[in-house]
Amino acid sequence: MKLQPEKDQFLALIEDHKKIIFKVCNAYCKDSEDRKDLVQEVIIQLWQSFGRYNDQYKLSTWIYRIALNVAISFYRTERTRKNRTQSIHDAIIEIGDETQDTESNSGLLHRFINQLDELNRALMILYLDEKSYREISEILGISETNVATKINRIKQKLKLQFSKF
Amino acid sequence: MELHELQTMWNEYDKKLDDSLKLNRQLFRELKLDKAKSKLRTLMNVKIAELIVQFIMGGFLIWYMVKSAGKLPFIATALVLLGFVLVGMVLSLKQVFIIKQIKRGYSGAIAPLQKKLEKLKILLVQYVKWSYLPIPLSPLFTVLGAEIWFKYDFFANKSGDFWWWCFGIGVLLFAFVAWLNHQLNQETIKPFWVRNFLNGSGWSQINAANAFLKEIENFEKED
Repeated sequence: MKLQPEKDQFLALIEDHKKIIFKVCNAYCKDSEDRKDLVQEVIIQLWQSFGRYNDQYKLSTWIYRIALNVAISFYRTERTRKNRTQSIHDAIIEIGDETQDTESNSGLLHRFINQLDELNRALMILYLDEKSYREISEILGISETNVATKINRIKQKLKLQFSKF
Repeated sequence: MELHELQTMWNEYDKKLDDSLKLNRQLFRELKLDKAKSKLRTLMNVKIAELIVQFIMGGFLIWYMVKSAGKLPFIATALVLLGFVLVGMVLSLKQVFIIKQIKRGYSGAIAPLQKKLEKLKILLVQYVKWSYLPIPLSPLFTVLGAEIWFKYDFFANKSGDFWWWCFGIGVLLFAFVAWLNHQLNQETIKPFWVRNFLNGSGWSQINAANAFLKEIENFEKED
């Protein structure tokens, strides 16, 4: 059982980095109910790994790794998983459903992100969040040159697919 | 559209999140984090329990074989059963090894960790498939069980007809298991009722896991 000061420290950390969690969850879940479950699952995994945080990595790197790993696994798991998690109070999270907003920039942005596969989607989120190639490679577990190659490929894809905009 | 335009949109989205994200800290405190169960830890406990049972079974079979020197048909049956137990132990140990590797939770780098998770899924399904294999030999195991628990010697007391019946049942069960195993190794199963039946045996999970493993390997490749 973890102590209250540790819990407070953890809650402060979540407060400071909540945008990372929501960006990742928004990118992997279209359905708002699933997204709430995913946010909750990420927070629980962060809490369970909190005592083992390795300070050789930046806090944001650690959070990104956990959030992305959980989101990818969640994305790939059948919906039955939903029934096995504890439910979160609806008032805790309120996120606008960006994917329905097809006319706006964020709708376009999510349209592009959603068509990428799970791993390239993670790469894209990190790139758009202005992470360095080194940090992206640390989070994804691939080399920096591989990161650069993949980003170039995504650039080409983007040009081709959205040439009319 | 260029990537920098997408970046501008992302920054706008970032600002929007700042304005619209409501995280009520007081309510957040009410989350029963301490009660959250680690699925990986639960799986590890199940696997350790399985290993203990397999170890006891293996030990008992070895003890029985040593004690029953001279009863060759029973020793041979026990040896076959021991073989299944030992392979089951190896599969369980492999799973424990992978679970130990990912025990640090989800804080590992994405590609290697996802690979381990998919490999674990495949092993779990292989383990289920393995458990089907001794089914054709169940008449023999019944004979062994009768000798161990009730001291009833089927080999001494039953005539040829009985053994032909056992053989027939064994052949039928073997045909069923072989068909099941063949279906589980297919990438696509056409009859929908077979597909529905085998989905519960992990067929769809193993296919999805293999496909994702290939995707991860391609993602890791530098080209």
